[in-house]
Amino acid sequence: MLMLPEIIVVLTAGVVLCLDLFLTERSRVILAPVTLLGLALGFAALLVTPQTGDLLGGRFGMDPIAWWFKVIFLIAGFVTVILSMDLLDGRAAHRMRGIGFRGEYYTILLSTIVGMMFLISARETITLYVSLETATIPLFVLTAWRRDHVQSGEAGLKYVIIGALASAFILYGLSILYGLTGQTSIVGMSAKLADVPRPAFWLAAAMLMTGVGFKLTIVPFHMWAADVYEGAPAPVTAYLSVASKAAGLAFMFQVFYRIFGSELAGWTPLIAAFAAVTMSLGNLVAIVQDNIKRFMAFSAISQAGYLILGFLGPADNGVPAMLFYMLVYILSNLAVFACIVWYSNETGRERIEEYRGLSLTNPIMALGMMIALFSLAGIPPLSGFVGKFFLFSIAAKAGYNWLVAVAAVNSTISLFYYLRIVRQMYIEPIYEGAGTLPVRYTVAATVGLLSLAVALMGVIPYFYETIHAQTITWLASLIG
Amino acid sequence: MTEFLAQHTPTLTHWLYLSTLLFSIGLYGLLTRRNAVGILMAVELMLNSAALNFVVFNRFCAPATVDGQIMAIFVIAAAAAEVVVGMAIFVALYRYRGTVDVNAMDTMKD
Amino acid sequence: MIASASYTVIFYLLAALAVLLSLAVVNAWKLLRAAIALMGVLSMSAGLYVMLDASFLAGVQVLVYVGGIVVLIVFAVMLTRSAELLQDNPAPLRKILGAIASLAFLAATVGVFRSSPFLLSAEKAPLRDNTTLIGEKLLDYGAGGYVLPFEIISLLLLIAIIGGIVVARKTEPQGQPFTTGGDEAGEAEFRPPFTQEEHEDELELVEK
Repeated sequence: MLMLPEIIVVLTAGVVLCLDLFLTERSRVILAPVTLLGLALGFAALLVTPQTGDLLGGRFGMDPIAWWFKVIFLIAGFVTVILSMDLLDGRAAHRMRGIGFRGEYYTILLSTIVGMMFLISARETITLYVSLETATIPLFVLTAWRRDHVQSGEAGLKYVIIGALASAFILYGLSILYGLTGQTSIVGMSAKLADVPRPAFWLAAAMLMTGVGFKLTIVPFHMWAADVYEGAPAPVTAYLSVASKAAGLAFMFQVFYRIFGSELAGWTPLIAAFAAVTMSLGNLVAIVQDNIKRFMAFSAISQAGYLILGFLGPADNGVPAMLFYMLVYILSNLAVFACIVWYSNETGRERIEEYRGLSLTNPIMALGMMIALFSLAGIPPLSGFVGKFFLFSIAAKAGYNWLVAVAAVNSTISLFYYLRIVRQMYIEPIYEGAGTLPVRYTVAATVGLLSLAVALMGVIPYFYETIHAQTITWLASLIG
Repeated sequence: MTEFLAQHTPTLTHWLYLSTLLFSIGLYGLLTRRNAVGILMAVELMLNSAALNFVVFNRFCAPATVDGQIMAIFVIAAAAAEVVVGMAIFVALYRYRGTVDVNAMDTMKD
Repeated sequence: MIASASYTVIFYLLAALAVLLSLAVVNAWKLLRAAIALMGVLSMSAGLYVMLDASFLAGVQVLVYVGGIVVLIVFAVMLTRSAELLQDNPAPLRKILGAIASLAFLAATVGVFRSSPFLLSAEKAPLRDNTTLIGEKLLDYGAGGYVLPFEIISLLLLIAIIGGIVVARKTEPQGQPFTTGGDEAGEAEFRPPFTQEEHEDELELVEK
């Protein structure tokens, strides 16, 4: 049963939606555990499903890469539900207006996860497009969830417009590809692309690149991210910064490796330029940010710059490195966001200098956040370093030594601004009369486990080895 | 006259010119409109021209199949979902802010 | 010969109308007029679909796009009853820049289409009705079928409905004070936006 994880997640969405009808507002606290249970069951199903095979006459495919992407999506969804629980069921929900409708919230969140899971398993462009929309459109709603909050609505408006624009570009690009090859199946397209007229192919590729650029916040197309991330409710921002980015990467992977395949070779200078600009601009703007969600938005933009370095190399090196970095990135980023969500829920504070003295009031949370921030910066023993190392070595192997230099300089700059937060937490004086803030055990456990995983994955290269081996298997099956 | 017209039935290229013209007009509207509803209408133009492209290619490049037409149907359905969500957000924001002018959307600028 | 001549005439007629109406969509001062023009563009596209042997799609276009989506836009424009929402006149500089950008795009795309020969197929359309074929394909779960996107989009539409209702709904969730969400005249004055400072004031109260 290859589709079992997806089916379980869809069913959970239905169960949560129906359960919501019969519950009183007070007893709706059980909706989040039900959602978590569903996601955990989906994850368990994913562990027992075979990692290769296809369904529906090859229209739904499963391979190790898709499997790893689904792991990433499910982890991101699981942690986001825990963080949402802290917002929707906690004290914050009574204080903030326009937060509520928990059943609908979890249903919509689950459906985006399903969309992403189908996205990476799609084997023809129609499913690819439809599941991309299913992964994106519900996010507009989640962004605008706080209806009485100006910034949330504004963020939703911007996200709707940019999302629709991106999908129009992607669609036009796909239509040209369809015209060039006369079919919708990814395998069929990629087989025919070698001898199609070049200009039209470049046009299609450019339009797809534009659309993907919006989704992945690559630099000329990044301007929406800061406002959307700042305005959205904090758990949704966490989800946008990890899952939405992972979905963008999955789409880019499907298009660049599966459809374009070897046609990619001429592209590397352009991707290198995009990567260099993205990481530099994201970093430079992050330095001057004041609001922590906005700061994390620019941090996420620069991380996207590192991430696409993987496209410079051949698939058997590039894909495992990108997958590993994506996994590290979502774990680190979610750990940081768990602290941000918790701190914002407890105190309403979202500015960087308001984090002062956190190490004295809540040492464990501060420690978890520090480990995660150092991992994002790429400090050696942590997994962020290993991930960056793999990506940089791919760029170096492809002959882009200047790009490696740029990336190294950027890592140093990023260390500086991540240290700003750490300095606030550890060195700056505490607020007068500030006491220990209560932490829900779910959030504390999440931060603890995530930062532990971030630390361990740097030490144990097991994960990378597994991903690497599996990618090789996939490529062998593709060629043989 | 009739003969001239009969010899100049539109070819694939003409159809493509039409769809790209519609797409460019949509792009123009997207860049110039200030009202979010106006922008969404411009995006609808772009989506419609992409759907037209699919049907044109279906007719000229793969007439034995209906893949392009099916894609167009899905495009229409996805556009419907997008408009529903977009309009809901615009109306909610309008109630609160009294405007959906994108130039006024600057509460988060530094 | 008459048939192909009239085909040409109808094509150029529909194309010209579609282009003119879409110019109206992006330029009309009043959004309601733009919405009506959009309705026209989409109807012209439906006509073009008929010319491309896609009559089922033409029907879908009229029923869903023209009859559903545009009507929704018109409702949204009118329900909010605002003069400001109906008017839209961009600054001249913005118009010029927009025109330059979109003309550049147009020139690039037309150039590409001129220079790349698409592989035309000599096959004739199947004698069987397109509509039957579409129906079979949409529910076909074998190779070449599209049952998977068909199911996924049903999920998407459901979620869009739920999300639309939640976001545009007027009442507050249970346990919170009922408001009309700003629809009553003058309500916005009574209830200024919930600002960060207010947030903190409230917090201090809680802490005390």
